[in-house]
Amino acid sequence: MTKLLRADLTRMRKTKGFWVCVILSFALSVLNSLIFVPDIRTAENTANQILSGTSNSLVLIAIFTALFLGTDYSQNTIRNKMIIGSNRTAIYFSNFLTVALGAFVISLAEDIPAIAAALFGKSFGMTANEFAFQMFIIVCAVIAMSAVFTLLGMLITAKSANTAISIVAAFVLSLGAAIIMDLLAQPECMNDFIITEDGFEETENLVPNPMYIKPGIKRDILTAVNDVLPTGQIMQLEAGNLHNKEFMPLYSFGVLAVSTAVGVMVFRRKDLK
Amino acid sequence: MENKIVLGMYDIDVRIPRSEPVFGVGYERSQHCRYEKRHITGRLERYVFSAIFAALYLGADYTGGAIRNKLILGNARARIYFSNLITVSAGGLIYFAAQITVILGLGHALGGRISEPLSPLLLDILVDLCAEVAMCSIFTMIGMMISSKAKIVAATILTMIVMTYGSFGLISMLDEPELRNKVELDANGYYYATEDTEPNPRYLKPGTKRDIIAAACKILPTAQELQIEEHYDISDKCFLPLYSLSVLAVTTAAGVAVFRRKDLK
Repeated sequence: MTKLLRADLTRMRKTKGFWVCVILSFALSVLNSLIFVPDIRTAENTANQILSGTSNSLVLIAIFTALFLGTDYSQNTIRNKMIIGSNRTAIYFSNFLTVALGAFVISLAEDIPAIAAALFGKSFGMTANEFAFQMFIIVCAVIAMSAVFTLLGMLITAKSANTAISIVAAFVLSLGAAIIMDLLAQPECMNDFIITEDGFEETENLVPNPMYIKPGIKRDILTAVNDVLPTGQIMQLEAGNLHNKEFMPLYSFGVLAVSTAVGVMVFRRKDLK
Repeated sequence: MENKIVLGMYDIDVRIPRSEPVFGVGYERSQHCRYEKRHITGRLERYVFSAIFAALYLGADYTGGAIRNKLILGNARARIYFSNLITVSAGGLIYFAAQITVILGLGHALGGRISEPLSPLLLDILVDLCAEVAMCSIFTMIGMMISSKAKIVAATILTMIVMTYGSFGLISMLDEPELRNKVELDANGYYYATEDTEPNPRYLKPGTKRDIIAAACKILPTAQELQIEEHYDISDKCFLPLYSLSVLAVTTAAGVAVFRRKDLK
């Protein structure tokens, strides 16, 4: 296991794609901060600015994971690993730990420019403890997501298909979380509207909002999914509207445990030819 | 005019919600998205499919070594490039047709009717078609320049995402008002907007920078798509297909030039 891990870490260090993802993550964050510059002197809540870039780096993490794990299959090195007597569980865990470290580095590269920009702000808008806790939630969510990407990367043998599926998964999970949050945030009532020649016009009377989800099983399920999904947690952090935040690292750990357990089980039985 | 049922009511909206800070720029979200008028055009999601299809299709030539067979048969490289471009664009147009068919078919089956006069709608469809072809030509250029299938997949999807987010950012930069309401803290620690206005530091003054951004918003196919989706009042909309065609011309010229010199081993 140690040898495998050492080999994987060296390979990650030598993978160009990894450093491209780190640099892109850094560059996107610099761009993000530069756009934020006009507001920086009067900005009241710069902490939120730091937290709100994570979803950009998720796609990069998906790309890195897919390229890194796919190489084992495309170059057939996975068979070499088996031949020297490593067992499949060790291969899986070593890959997961490497990928999790890579994901952490990519999200760190995303945070550094944002933190630098935040230091120029008027006020941080958050106590140090609170900020540290929210960063901890993000790290847990990122690691849970890399467990999900590892699951995909270890089970799908074709590198290009895996790349496409991982990126789409990152997208779908982020958008899905955003849609769920959007649904939960719908107000119960809304202003009625009438249709005029120029289009829609709002009136004063309130009508029930058809998009509002009434308290009940459906709402409970959506709330739970929103809290458990790592992307849902990231979206909530970005919106600055946290629900159940004490449990979030635990939920992330649960996602990690479930996806790794499923991954190891299926990978053990996988036909590697 | 009485059949003004909104077609888009039946069309689940799966775009990036507008409240999400995109490049640090916040958006106001409409609470009435269900009643918002939605065109059958301006659906950005299909670019994801186009990107994946283009990458898998073009990458297969390299992994299978088929590209060398094509060359051995005596095909000029430019011809290989063009035939790939046409195939990828045809794929993109099929996605486009499928999308319109589903939205129109489902919408109509559920009782929706097109609320627009037909000619602006047809113009929008034309703009969309040209934007789709322009995007496909960008994907083809990327696919012909890189030799590894997995890297092509990553590069095309990443390009698509960066272009989409970039267009969001650029459009919202142009949208910034010149003045904004001052925000103050009340006794309970909540922010509220006062009646006083102050100059908006994000406002782009008329000048070269604004002109460049405005031009980019017209030329980028993703920006065209977003503006049509959001019913922006685009001045001289009929020129947008021409911009798309110029994107097609430039990317294809660059792609052919690079591909001619590429070492195919």
